Amino acid sequence: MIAHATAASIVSAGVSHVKQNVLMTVELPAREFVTCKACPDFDLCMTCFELSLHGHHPAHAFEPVADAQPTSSEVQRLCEAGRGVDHRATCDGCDKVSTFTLLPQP
Amino acid sequence: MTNVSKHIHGVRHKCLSCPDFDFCSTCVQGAVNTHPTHRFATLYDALPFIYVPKEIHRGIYCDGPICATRSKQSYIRGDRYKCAVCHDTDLCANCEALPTQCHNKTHPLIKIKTPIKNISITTLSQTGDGQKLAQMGDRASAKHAATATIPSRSTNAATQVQTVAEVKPAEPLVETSSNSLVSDERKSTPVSGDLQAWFESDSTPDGTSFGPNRLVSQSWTLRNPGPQAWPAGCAVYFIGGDDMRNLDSDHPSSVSDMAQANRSNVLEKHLEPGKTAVFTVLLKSPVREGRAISYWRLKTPEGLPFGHKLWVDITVATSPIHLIKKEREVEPVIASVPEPIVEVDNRVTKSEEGSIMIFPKLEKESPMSSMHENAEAPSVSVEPTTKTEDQELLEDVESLELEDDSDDGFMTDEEYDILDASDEDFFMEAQQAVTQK
Repeated sequence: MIAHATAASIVSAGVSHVKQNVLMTVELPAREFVTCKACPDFDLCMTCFELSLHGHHPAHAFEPVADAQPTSSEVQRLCEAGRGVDHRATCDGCDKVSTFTLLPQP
Repeated sequence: MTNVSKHIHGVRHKCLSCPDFDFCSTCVQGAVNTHPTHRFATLYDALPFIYVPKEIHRGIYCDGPICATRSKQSYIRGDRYKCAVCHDTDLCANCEALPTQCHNKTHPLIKIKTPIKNISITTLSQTGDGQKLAQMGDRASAKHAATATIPSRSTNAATQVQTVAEVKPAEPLVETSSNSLVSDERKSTPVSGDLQAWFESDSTPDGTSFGPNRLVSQSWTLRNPGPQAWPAGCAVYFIGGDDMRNLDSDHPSSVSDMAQANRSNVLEKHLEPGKTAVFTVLLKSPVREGRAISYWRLKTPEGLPFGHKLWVDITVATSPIHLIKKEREVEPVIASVPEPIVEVDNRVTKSEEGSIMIFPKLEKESPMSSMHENAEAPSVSVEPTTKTEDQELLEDVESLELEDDSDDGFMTDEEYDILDASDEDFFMEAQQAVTQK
């Protein structure tokens, strides 16, 4: 539905379009938007999205509204759940998946 | 999925029970099976990195499941946990807290925060009739003899720092008057060097496959070729190798249970030359996969070993069914090996129990000593008669240990700093998260 929406109907909830708590309606082409995969209707324009000040739940992943939309690696990183934060920690499951799954509990 | 030593990006799932255990969002999906009973906290922000220097226990390797599977072995950093019962068994803090860690839970672990050189920990345990004391823990005496023969060329060898100390003979501390009568009797029994036992057949052939933690029955048919008759009370005793004795590793076993698990059925009457006897032991296959060999030996009631050396050689293979049945309890299922006909009764008289030795050795998890091909490593014996043989075997094991350790497998400090990003302040973060909600 959103992916097929016309550009005029998409409203950005982003920071740069909110002034004094009044949501501005901006009209931008659909390729300028990313949409939340978890929420029913939450879209952000690329500018607001890349500012990372929108405060949307970090567990929610985003995706570009328009299909086959060329996106920078930065946008791709921000779209993933967790916003691509670099934790100074290593996953203990990735390097030894086989040994763990095969270990039965005594 | 093979992003070894790569940082987690995006959402991090940190174990709330382990000192340093994290999953990425992919791996956390199987956490119920791979890291059972522990809860995970979801972290979206990177925790501030606080550098905490960790003590390095030089020469000490972790025998735990995380470190054992690592291709690069390294010394224990941070807290070290030393088993008070097993010979040369240490765990790092991470492996100790791991829910899939299958070290015997009845064993006390000693937490060592600062590196200690030359520490040897032994524990005394009562044997079958409660009057003799068996020494458990580090095999100090045998180590001593073995290391003396080999010049220490590698400074990093795990054996170097390990446990060299004087042996204190395990003296019987309590000797009641009624018990001393029995032991006097035992001392006076003549020792015979003419006993012989020839192996005829066994019920569980070498290489038989079993599931983990299953009951395995092994019966050896032994012939007495003469010239002397075997005295009554002969039995097959556990000598060493992989510990497959049928003991519950989660709860303390009674002394009689341990004695029972340690040896086969006992010869009730003396056996004339030319006749055969069947000795049956009930074993439990190890939890870990792979080949497992347990060594056994026929002994007189006085504890003199004689005859052919005996062993149980099995292969442990996990079938995927066990993973699903997660709540499967310790109670093992009888394996499909048919129970052999036992000629002699299991009954034991009081005097026979006096010769029981309890071997403290448990699951061998040490990366060096768990090479099953060389599993001739014997356990501690309190009897001087078996000492010489034990030492010979140990020398073999010792030389192997020195060979396969080299310096090149160690990580640089930078790599460690990355790995050591364990977050002590995590719980504060978690608290804040809770209060915010």
